[in-house]
Amino acid sequence: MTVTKTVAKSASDPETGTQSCTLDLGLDSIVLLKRQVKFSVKNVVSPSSFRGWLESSPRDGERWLRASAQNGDLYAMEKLGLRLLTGDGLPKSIEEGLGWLKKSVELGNPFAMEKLADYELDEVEAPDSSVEGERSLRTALERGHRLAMVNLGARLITGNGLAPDPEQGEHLLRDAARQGSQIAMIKLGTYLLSGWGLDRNHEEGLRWLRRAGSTNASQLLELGLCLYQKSLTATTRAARGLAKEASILFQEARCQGNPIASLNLAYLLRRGEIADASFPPLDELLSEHLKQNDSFAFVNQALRLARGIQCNTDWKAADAVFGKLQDSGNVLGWWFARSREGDPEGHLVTGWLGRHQLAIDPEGFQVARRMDLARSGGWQVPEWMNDPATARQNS
Amino acid sequence: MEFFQTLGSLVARLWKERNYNEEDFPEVASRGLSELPPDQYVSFWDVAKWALTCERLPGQADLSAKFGQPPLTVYGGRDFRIEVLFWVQGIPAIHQHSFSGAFHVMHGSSLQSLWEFEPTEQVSMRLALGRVSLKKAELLRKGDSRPIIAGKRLIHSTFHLDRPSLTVVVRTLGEANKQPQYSYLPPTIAYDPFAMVPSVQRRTQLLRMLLVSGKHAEYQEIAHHMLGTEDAYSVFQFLFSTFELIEDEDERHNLLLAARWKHPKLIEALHPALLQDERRNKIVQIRERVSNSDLQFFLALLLNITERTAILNLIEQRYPSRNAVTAIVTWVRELSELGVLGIRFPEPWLLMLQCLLLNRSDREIQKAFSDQYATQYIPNIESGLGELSSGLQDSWLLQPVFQN
Repeated sequence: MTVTKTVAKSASDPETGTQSCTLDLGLDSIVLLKRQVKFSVKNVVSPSSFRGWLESSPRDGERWLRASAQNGDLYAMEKLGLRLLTGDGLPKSIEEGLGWLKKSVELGNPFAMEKLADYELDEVEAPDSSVEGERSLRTALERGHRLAMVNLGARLITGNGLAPDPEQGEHLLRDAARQGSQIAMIKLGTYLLSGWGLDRNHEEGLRWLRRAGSTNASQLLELGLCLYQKSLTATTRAARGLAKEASILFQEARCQGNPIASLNLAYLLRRGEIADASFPPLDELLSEHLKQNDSFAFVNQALRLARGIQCNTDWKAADAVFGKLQDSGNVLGWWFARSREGDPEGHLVTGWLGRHQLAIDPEGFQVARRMDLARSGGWQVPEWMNDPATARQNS
Repeated sequence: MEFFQTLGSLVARLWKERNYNEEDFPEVASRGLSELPPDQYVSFWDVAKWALTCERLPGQADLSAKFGQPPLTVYGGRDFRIEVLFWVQGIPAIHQHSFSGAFHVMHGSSLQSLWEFEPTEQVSMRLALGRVSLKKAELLRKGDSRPIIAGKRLIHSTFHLDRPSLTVVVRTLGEANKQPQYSYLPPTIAYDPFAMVPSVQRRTQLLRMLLVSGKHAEYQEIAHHMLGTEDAYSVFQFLFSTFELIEDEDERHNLLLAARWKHPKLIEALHPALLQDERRNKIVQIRERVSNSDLQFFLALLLNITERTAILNLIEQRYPSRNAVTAIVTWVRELSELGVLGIRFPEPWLLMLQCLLLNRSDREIQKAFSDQYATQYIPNIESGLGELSSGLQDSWLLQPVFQN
């Protein structure tokens, strides 16, 4: 994945070009008059590694959360319940977590209702869990929770956790979008753009994305990146699925001529975060970038060789490709952040940079330790990768 | 300054004759200003020069310049004072007074809007919910004077149109039985801006700090807890002070939803007031970027007047030879061309604006477009024009010109 921002040549809003004999009423922009603040792709970005009450002192944070929950703070109940349920910052305890979440729901907390629904729809495999989940979402919706409307609409369109009902799902998403929900606009835009769950309508899909603040190829790319980053810090499966929406935006940005989009698509494909059927092969997506000695392309190529994605596994070749890396700053920035999230690939790349003396490990870990962390996460890293690369290998 | 000594002495004598009865002071002050109208005796420069060079200024009230830019005390009498208020870009809130007296436009001109408040729920002394509605609007010119009645009988906002504008205020020092001195957030809120609880004020500042620093996740974490547990006045202050700093519509929605659980009536009333306040602030920002006095006047109307008829009347008052509808369309075009609106109004929008201001029917609008763009094809003309019409009427900027 690359975060480099390149302004595409199409930045001057290529979609609005109309035939000279047709009067453009400017209807795409008229919606902007309703909002006092212009939508921006930046608004969507709230991926954060902030740990809330558990940020600096987990023990004090837990004590505070528990005390507040016991004193009747329904939002503390929700947070405590969710953390216990997912094991996020606290020892996992499904029973206790569910208990707090349900108590918050009983008190009328619509946010807890949505969280409980996500749990029932994504994590529980009991026969009636999807009925329960849908009921929780609908109750949250009745309480005025607009994001629950988006959640339910998206699930009904994509069939994620619920029996598909695209008509009803579309109705809900359109309603939320009309109420001003930016994420509803984005979802509606991506579904229409790709035909995912809805009849494909490329023009209308783009129109919704423009309304959400994404008016050119580089903004589509940026928006896709935001969604993907958000998915990385999400705790629910539905939110983690934002990668697919991101890929649709990357694909559109690529079609509009943004070169970086293909690199981001390659990243998602290589990691198996999106199915490869509807996208070009990795060779095609990476080839131009490899010719241009792009660092992210080298890392992606090395990782696919190491994993054997659309090719045979070949660690020696992978290491040779990795050794061609010239600029390691952005590479370290991206993959070290992944390692902090517990992603073994992040450990592998951070260690690999150390092996080739391309970067100093920010946490002072030895290469061997990083490689062990990658191995324990499923990477079959050869033992020789623990050793520093020789000068010849580097050259 | 000699003139104000004379005016002060006159007011002092007249009030003494009324036994210093506060109820009579608006009449006393008005009479003083009518017998010795300041605009006919002193100029803006006289006052500024005197204040900057005199050996000793009278004792100054409101040193932090909360009302006036700056306020200058020119006379101190028994239980009353005379102030000259300078205004350069001040946009006083809609407010009532805990003092009485009269004011006089000494230099420049002003747009005064008079409001009324029908309370539906007194949440506390500091906060009330109800209906804030416009009663009357008028242009005040140099030499005009108006009484100031303490309490709810005079709720107004005086928007100064020229830079600088000067008003002379002859006022009592304060009337304890007329507290609190509410400010109003149309269409629904009355609050006391002077009686902040220290802990609420500091916490509000801290919440703003989080948002200004980009710490949205941290803000969300703490804000839900506070909105779900604190009292109505604190929740009002937290939201009033931070809402505008949140750009994500979904995040805003979640905040209001979190607060609604404990304070449903407050949130129902506060939401439209927050949007109006945001609109007001946005127009103020635009106005600061515009130097043309006609455009400044138009923006002042959009900022202060909530009804179309009043807007058209005020334009006709100020520009008797101009057609008000044509003036509005021209000003919107000019603002658009200046690039200060954040969005450019293409010609079809301006044509639609004109049609709507002229109360044209759908059929007449279609005809106007067909005539204007005879050589161009208009796809889905009926629905397209419908969407354009409702988009303009819902617009944050132009809302008031479509309100009857």
